[in-house]
Amino acid sequence: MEALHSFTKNNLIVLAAKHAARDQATDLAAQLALGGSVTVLDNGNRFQPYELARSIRKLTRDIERTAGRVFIRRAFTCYQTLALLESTPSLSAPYLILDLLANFYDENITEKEINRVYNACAREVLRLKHGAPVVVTLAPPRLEQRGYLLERVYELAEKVVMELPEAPLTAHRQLNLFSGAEVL
Amino acid sequence: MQEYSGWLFDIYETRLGVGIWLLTDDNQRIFFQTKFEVTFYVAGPRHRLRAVWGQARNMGMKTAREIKHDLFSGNIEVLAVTAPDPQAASSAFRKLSEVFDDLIYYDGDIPIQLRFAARTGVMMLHHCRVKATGGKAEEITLDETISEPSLTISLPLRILELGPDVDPSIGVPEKLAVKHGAHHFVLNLRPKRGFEIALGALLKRVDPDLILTDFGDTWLFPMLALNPNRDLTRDVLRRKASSFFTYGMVMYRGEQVHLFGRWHIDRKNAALFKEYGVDGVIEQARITGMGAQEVARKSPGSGITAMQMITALRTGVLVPVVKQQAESFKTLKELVSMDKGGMVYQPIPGVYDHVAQIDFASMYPSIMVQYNISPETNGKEDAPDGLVPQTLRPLLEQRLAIKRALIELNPRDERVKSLKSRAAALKWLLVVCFGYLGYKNARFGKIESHEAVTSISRELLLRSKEIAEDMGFTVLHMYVDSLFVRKEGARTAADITPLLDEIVAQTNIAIAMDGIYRWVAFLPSRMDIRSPVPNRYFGVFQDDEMKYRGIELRRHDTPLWVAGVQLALLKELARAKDLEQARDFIPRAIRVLNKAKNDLHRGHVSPESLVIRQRISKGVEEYKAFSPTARAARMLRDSGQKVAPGQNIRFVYTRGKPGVLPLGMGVIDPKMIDIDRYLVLLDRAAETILSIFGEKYWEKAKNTYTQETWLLPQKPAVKRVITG
Amino acid sequence: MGRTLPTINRQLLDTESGLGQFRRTLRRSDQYVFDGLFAEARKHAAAIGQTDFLLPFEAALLAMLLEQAKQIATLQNEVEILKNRPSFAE
Repeated sequence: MEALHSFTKNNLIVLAAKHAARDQATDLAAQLALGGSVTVLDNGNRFQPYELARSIRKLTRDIERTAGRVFIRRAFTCYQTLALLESTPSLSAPYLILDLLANFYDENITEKEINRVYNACAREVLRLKHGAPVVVTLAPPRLEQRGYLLERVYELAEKVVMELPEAPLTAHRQLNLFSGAEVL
Repeated sequence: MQEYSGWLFDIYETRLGVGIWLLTDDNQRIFFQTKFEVTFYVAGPRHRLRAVWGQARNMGMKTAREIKHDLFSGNIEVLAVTAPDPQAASSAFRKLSEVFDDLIYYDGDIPIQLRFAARTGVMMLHHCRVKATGGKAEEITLDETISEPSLTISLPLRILELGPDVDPSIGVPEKLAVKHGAHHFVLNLRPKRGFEIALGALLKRVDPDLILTDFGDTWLFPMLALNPNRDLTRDVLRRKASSFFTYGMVMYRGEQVHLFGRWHIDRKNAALFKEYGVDGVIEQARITGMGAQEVARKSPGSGITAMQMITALRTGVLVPVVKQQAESFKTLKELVSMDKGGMVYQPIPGVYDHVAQIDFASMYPSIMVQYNISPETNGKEDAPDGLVPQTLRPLLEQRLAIKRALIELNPRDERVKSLKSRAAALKWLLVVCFGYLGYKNARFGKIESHEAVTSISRELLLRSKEIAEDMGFTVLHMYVDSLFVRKEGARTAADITPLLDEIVAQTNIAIAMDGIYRWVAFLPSRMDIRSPVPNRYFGVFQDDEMKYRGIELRRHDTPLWVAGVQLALLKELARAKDLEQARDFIPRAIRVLNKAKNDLHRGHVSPESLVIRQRISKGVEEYKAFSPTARAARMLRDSGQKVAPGQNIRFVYTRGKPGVLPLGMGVIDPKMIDIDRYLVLLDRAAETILSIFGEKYWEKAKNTYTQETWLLPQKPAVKRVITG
Repeated sequence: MGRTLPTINRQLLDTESGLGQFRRTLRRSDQYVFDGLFAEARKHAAAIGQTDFLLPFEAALLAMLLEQAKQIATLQNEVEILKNRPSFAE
């Protein structure tokens, strides 16, 4: 895990995979919690608390204390996603933003409005990135016509790691963030 | 100026302001209009509001600076923008919110019926007095003499029922059945022109208040050229079909056709209509303030949202246009501790006698009211009545009033049916209010309120368990808001009353006894007979009523025939006076089962009763596995039918490939039916009922049936086909 | 039912399937008993859920012990009864 030492601020990494890289995100949260606080912003109900507890247990016996360093907030609409981002303070501890676009596929909201809200969210993500490393996970788009939003998120990132349909993201569940070139 | 008095029947926007229809006490239907200014509010930095102010004035709006109350932020400074009528307000709101999209808007999208109710105090279908000159109403006031909770609402509704002779999604209708009062007759659908003229004449003659149709939304009205409104200055209101995701399920809603001055309800496009009928729709409209046509089609959740909006308007709370409250930070531990659901206390599988079932009445809403759970009161001791309790209290009181009235009445009283429908309609509102007051679509919700309610509900169930055990009862099963208890020697309601009283005293939530079972069986898991399963049981009450949960009979995808046989098996066992006797009735149940199998083999079972009904949750293309439902959906799609997520797919199992035949794709010949497949389904349903009394009974049942034993020299099988 | 978190039963199933290789390596007759342990634990899903354990499996182990203790108590009782039967004492 030497990779994590270079997990610095002004570094936005996007993980795009099925289920928004749920398992990898869980393991990542566990590792990060070992070293300090981590803020999890869960947008698509992707957060798996018990799995995270088990993951922490594999790394340390001091589950209670480590778990106490994981802070979670959840959003269930795109407006809540925005409210979440706007009200999250700029810290130096890493942020894990799960399934950022999960709530942007509501067909009852117009394209124009979706774009407006997304742009506001993007500004907040950039703000958070100034002070701390940010990992954003994405799932395959639920609405084909809004697939372009993923491209927009990629543009914000220093690194994008995508899962190919044929090959899983990594052979085992440990995530190596700086394993080399982007997989596209 | 003249004075009129009657029932508020319909409200909608007009160019002047608002138009209302009154169903007067002397049985007339009169239309009035009244001026109706509409105000919405904008919050944000002063310099931005100044820009809005300028734009708004250019649009001809009145503006003012005001202090108004935001539920979470308290009193805030806002810019009030007032339009002369609702349509101008919508248009101004749309334009301003597009240009000034960084600001926060309140009261921008409130339906006119709710605004009207909040301003005048007159809700839909309440009795009121109107003072008017010509068609213009000067004053509209609620008539308090016929006040809530009025237990007999007598609306002299003129109802016209229309329905095609064949389901248009399966066949081509030739005739339209018409029912009006005692008159039944039929109109030919062709030639079309002749039909439209006849229908138009009918509407004019009958002048119905309610047109109750089958397939009116999706078939009849879309194909008509004539205008079925009572207000002929308007065209009908059409809504598109849509699939949407709610409560973890995908639902489908067909197109809709709403009328003006008159109601149209399509029984086939109104999911809950069969639960409570017209009386229920009226009850919901009265308490939510929504129009009857909306109530019939929308989920009860919109009713709760409507009630909440009216309460907010009445108490001066700003209604945000979108929900913006985000959850506060929780540590992993806190999340795990707080986000649990209702208490589920597993039963020990088996059959038990003299078991009392007691239920908390409308537990979650009652908790919200009793314990003042509201998003803005979260964590505050001694907070004043929150928005949520204020919204729900009248609903709980009304339901209680109706239930009390029902207890007083003789079961054969003709008012009972109507009261039961009304109680059911209110129950549905109560059932969804938990989700709608904390989940994503609520304007004010916070998930912490949800968690507070479930946390209290678990605590209350645990306390009830302790009270029961202190009184010598064993608690057999608990499920969210109900308990099953048993005590040796406790056999009558009088034996249970002390328990009920003590629970009410300690929890402050109403609780009632559902009944005492002569015997009740708690069923194990299908996977492992040693594993318990919650909320899966069947039993017979002392008054001979049966109750069952979680078994095939209750599932939507069980064919009618299988459900019928399972019910027949239950009925056989239900004859037993006690547990010992129940075992004696098993051989009779087995005979019922074997006869059913024989019927199937001999072709005596109609294909209609073998139809499987399943809802698809995604688009047809997205299905990878070749489940029978996916196959049937694909076949339908390939034959040109539209198949949207959330729709029900109906099909039968057939021999050979592809193994399914959807309804609407041709004749279903009984010889095509895959008998073995249905026998498997039947065996499973029978096993559910019989095996709980002992594995040996089920083994015996399976072994007594062979086709040879039952096949007698026969008459040719009845040829019954469904035409498609 | 009002929760966004997966239920205790789900957690127990996950743990059980996580022990897939363990179970597989057991003899068939032992596998049946192994499954029984989890069935016993599921009887107490409500109690397990009431704890705030981050690892509910720890509470599940307690539930299994509880059931075993009950079985032992029942057996002890039956042995006492048998011991005191006249025919047995001879």
